[in-house]
Amino acid sequence: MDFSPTFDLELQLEGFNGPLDMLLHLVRKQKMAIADISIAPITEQYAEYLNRMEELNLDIAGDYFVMASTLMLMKAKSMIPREQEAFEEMREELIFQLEEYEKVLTQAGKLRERHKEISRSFPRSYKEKIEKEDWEFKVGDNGAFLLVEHYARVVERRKALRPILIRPKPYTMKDVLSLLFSVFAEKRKVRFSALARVRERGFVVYLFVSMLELVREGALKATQTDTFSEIILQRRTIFTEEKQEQLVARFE
Amino acid sequence: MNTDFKATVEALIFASDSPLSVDKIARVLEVERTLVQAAVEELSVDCSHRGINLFKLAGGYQFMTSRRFYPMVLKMKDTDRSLSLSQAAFETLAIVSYRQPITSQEVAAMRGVQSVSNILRNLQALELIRIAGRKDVIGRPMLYRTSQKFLELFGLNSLGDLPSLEEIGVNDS
Repeated sequence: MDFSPTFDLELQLEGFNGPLDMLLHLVRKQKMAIADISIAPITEQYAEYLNRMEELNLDIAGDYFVMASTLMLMKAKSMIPREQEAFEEMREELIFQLEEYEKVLTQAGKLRERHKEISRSFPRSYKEKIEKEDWEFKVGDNGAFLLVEHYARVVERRKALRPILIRPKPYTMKDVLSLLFSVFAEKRKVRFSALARVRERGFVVYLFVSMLELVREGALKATQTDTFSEIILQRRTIFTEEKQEQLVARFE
Repeated sequence: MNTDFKATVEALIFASDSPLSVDKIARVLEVERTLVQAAVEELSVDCSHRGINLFKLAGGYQFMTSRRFYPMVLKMKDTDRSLSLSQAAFETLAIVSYRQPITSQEVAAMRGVQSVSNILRNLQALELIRIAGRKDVIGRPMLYRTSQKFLELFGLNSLGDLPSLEEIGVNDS
């Protein structure tokens, strides 16, 4: 097999436009008609090209690997007598694909030529589109007022873009969790609503999350008889101070 | 032929932004299209030796500078008109133009790749191809066709003017 990676190859590898392009290149290199393609050697060469591309750290599209596996499957089938028919079918399919692709290349080349040729003539540069664009800003006698109007619009827009201030809460998750610990150091059973009473929404959310955390850790047991009904919190164990600090630290 | 009539047709074609069809001219001037056709043909001969020629493009007529003066015009304009398309894009465009209407999947299969949707999107952004309905199969994939602008930019009057493979010496059976 006359295959030796050369400098020429390195240049070529980046220039392939897909697996069919690469395959066609290999067929042509062998000075073979597409219809006479022999799968085994082509499969090997294709794989070697792919390896070389990997060595060169080229970004290889998945398409190339799909083709590689198709070729290998064909090669395998070609060696199994009872798969001969399936192999021939696949081979015919590949030949058809390559021949069609060769036509596409010719047509693409022809299009490129046509385009190059017509591009040597220039139409008028004037473009109606630009003229038709909605140019609201026409300055007449009232130009100054218009200017003020536009300025006002800009100011309005700036207002709309002003960032929303996020005020820091007067308490943190840490505080709320610590509070829960101190409550249950004294009491065994507390209603959720009693804890959440008169506090604002942010606090209730923090409280709820803390409650879930402690239920998960096994410090509390929460019971609720019905949807939206009162949640009763019961102490199961009292955590050591060390363990409490550990939990609180999670919300640093 | 009435010189004034021919001059009117000339003015209309000049003023149009894209190739102007004989039908449109006939409608505007409220005359028979054969009359317009005759005027257009005379105009074409008249200016064949001038700096601007009459081109038959995308089903209409358009004045453009003569190819002979390309180097000088280019020097003045400083920018080339030609699109810079990759080889992959040219292949994709060739497939769409010769086999339209065609789905994205069919184009990909012809190129032996998994997907050409990015290239199709780019060609669509360049207004070279357009969506022309959906194929009546499972998934109802979109069908692509080339546009008027494609004909203009490739110097074709109609799709029938696409160079055939026989013409290029390839047997297309």
